[in-house]
Amino acid sequence: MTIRRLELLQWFGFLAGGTIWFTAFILGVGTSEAACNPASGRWGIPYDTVQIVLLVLAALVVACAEIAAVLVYRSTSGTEEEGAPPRARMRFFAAGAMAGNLVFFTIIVLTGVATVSDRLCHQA
Amino acid sequence: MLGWLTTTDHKRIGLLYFWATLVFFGAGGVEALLMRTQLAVANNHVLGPKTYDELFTVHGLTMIFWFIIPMTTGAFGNYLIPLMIGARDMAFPRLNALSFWIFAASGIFLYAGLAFGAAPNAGWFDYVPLGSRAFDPGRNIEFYTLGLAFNSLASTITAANFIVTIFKCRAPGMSFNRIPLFCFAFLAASFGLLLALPSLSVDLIFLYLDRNLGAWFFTPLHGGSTLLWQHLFWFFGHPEVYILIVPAFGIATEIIPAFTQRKMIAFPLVAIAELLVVFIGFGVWAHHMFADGLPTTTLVFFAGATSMVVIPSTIQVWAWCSTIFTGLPRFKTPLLFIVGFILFFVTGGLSGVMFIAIPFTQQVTDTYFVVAHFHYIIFGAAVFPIFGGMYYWFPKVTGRLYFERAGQISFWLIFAGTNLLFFPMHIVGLLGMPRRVYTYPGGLGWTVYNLLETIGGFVTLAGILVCFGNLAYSYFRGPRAGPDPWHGPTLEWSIPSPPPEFNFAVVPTVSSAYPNWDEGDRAVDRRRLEADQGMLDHGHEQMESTSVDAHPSRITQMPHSSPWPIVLALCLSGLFALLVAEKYSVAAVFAVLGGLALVAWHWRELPAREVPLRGQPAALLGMGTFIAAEAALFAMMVGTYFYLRFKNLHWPPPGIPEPKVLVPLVLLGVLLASVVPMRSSYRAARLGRLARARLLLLAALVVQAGYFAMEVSLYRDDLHRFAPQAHAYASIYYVLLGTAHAHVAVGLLLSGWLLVKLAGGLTRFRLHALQAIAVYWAAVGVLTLIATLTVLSPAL
Repeated sequence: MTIRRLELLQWFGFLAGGTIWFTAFILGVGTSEAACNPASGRWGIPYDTVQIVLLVLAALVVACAEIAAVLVYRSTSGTEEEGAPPRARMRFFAAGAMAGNLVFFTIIVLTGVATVSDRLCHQA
Repeated sequence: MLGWLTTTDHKRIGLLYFWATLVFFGAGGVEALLMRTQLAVANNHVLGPKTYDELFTVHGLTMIFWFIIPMTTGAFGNYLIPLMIGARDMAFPRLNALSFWIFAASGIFLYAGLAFGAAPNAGWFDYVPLGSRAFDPGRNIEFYTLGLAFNSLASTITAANFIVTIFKCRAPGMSFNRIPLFCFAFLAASFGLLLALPSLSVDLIFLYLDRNLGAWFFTPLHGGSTLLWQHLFWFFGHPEVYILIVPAFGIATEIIPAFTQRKMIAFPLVAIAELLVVFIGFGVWAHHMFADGLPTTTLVFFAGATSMVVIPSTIQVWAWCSTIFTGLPRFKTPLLFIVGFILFFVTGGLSGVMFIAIPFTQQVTDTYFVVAHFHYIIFGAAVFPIFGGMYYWFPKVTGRLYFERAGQISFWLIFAGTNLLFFPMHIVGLLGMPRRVYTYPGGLGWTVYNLLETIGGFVTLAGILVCFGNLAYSYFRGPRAGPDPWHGPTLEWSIPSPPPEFNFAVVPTVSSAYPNWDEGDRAVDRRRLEADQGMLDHGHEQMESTSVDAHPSRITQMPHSSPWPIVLALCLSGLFALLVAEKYSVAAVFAVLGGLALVAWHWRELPAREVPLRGQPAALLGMGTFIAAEAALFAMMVGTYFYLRFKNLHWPPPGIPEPKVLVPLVLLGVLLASVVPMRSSYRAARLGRLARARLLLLAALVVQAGYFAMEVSLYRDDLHRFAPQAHAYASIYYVLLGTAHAHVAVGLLLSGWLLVKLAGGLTRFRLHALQAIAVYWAAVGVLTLIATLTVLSPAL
């Protein structure tokens, strides 16, 4: 794989997981607030559908980001951790992304399943 | 004396921060001991309820905003980051000085409230309606809103400066995989500050407008929401906890390798974990609101993120412990404080994990259990590394060693005192003692625990006094330290102690994250020095590098000392003081004076010996950080708009007409179109076509001024149709549009100033300014588009 392509994969692997988690998180919370407030509650928001779409979409993007990170990590095997850029730097970001994307994936699945299975607008 | 007032040297500014924050630490500590003395026994009357309310509020504010953040980012960060990355100074030295003077002035402002008997008194989080005019009619809350807004300005400037410095001023070779973990931690904290503070600023603006101009953001009867305050506050407040703690992680990751003579285990994971903690921290804010009655379908998002934010923290704990166990630990005072920090962090973290369970939180909320948890984190985990760091870098800053035995005594006293002070709070909290009560009745089983806590407070004080006594005595009588008494891993240990004014005699060679342990590189530096190579000796020069891989980018001339930062800070102080006093017209005079100070600041350009090699200038990244903060500000306002809209059956409410659509949309198109001549103006200037660049800039300015005039006219028409005091709808409508217009007004001033400068010819400084202002206008176009579509949404 060319350095240019690896570079793109490295940034995708590093940035996509966090970006999609935070986007899905804000949209998920916003939808929940919209569904459960007096005015917007009348809008007939298909809550479960929205949340399932967010869950599936976000999980897919994070999974792709994880695959990209693994690919970069494998392609840079044999590179020293503190070696010269760009290969060592790519390996560094890929190692971090592999861990970070797992965390994002877990949050997305945990919250997605919980919010869909819970009774809508049940006050805590 | 004048040299200190006008200094722009990062080391001097770091020391100014250090001394100023110590003063505030002392004040916050006295407040804490007064409260503990009051609570030592039941039915005590050392303090009355009014004074107690003011003390616990000012104590919280002081320790968070005027001690921990400025001590870590301001003192440690300023002094050490340029040294660790091999730089001459911060990216923007005068902004650095400005942030210190604003910080110092904001602290004086806060304590002026205490002196005038009008200190903030509704808790550091100042929940409404407690903080509203109806329940707090004095000027106490104005000292809170304006004091924090003033302080936030300093923190935002500091954060932007650190981000640009770490991205653009690293020594060649220090690619991202070779940045010291300390710098990663400060980068994470800076991003956190930059993006979290706008939420607090928006909240403070809303509260100020509610109290002083009759807006209704927080009053449900008029379409507002009390929970809005909490959402905005905690969107800032929880990342804030990580902003406090992550620099402590950074200090730990420097001290552990030095005292085990071993590189940190799992370096990439630790680096990423530092960033992840802050990032995920933006998704946990409502776990402070588990007792508010929000829907569980909403709260699970926060419970999920809260449970997983533990993972990056755990990665770091594992890496610290593994490095200590597998290295050759020397348990000197700095490492002892780090071990104490790990113990407190794990204990406080475990009690924090308990709050993920929503029913548990609902049981213990507002009890001393919560106080115990956050003091284990904020004092045990955030402040212990500060003590460790003081001991560790004392030889570097002063050139002398401290006395080890006294250091260890201070550690054990502070460690024992802190546990005695805060651990019984867990028990007394589970027994039901509420927080924020100035006294309590006997016979509830709380007294003995409270007495122990008070004793613990004084033991901690004794330890702190031993610590500072040791350091003060060592400053005069300590043995000479030499450049590297600990065989430290990072670049600051490669230069004399204290560091010379120019930091590095040659631009250092870097090939790992522990460059001082790379003997070969240091030998190369010595040879280059002898051969007069790699020296930046044409004045106050700085090497800039590319953001990711740190290739040499350009050599720029940095400003020397300047009087304008302190002058501008004085103008801002006058502005804020007069806002508290409700003297708005005189306050406007100070705002104008501040503007003039800014013009004077930028009037004289530095002698140009800039050698461009590749990459974008630091100024462009600086503008990028400013735009990111402004985008966060707009996001909070747009979020507020829809949050309030969700709650109101009629939006706009009866009596307020729907917004007109056509003219604002046409005007918006005009504003967006003006971005094109701005970009073209920059392109022409880059090609050296000055006349064309000026013409295009003038054309854009005319269009933008026309847009602004039309928008102001529409705004005034709206004011005649409905007042901001009519309903929460009207309040957010005018604030959102007003903010967008204010950004356009600032852009007009910038473009006008640049046009005047370009009359004197084209310099590299002016070219960079044109580039940055073109980017600013593009961002203003996008932000205005979002704001306009938001307020027009009911009619679309």
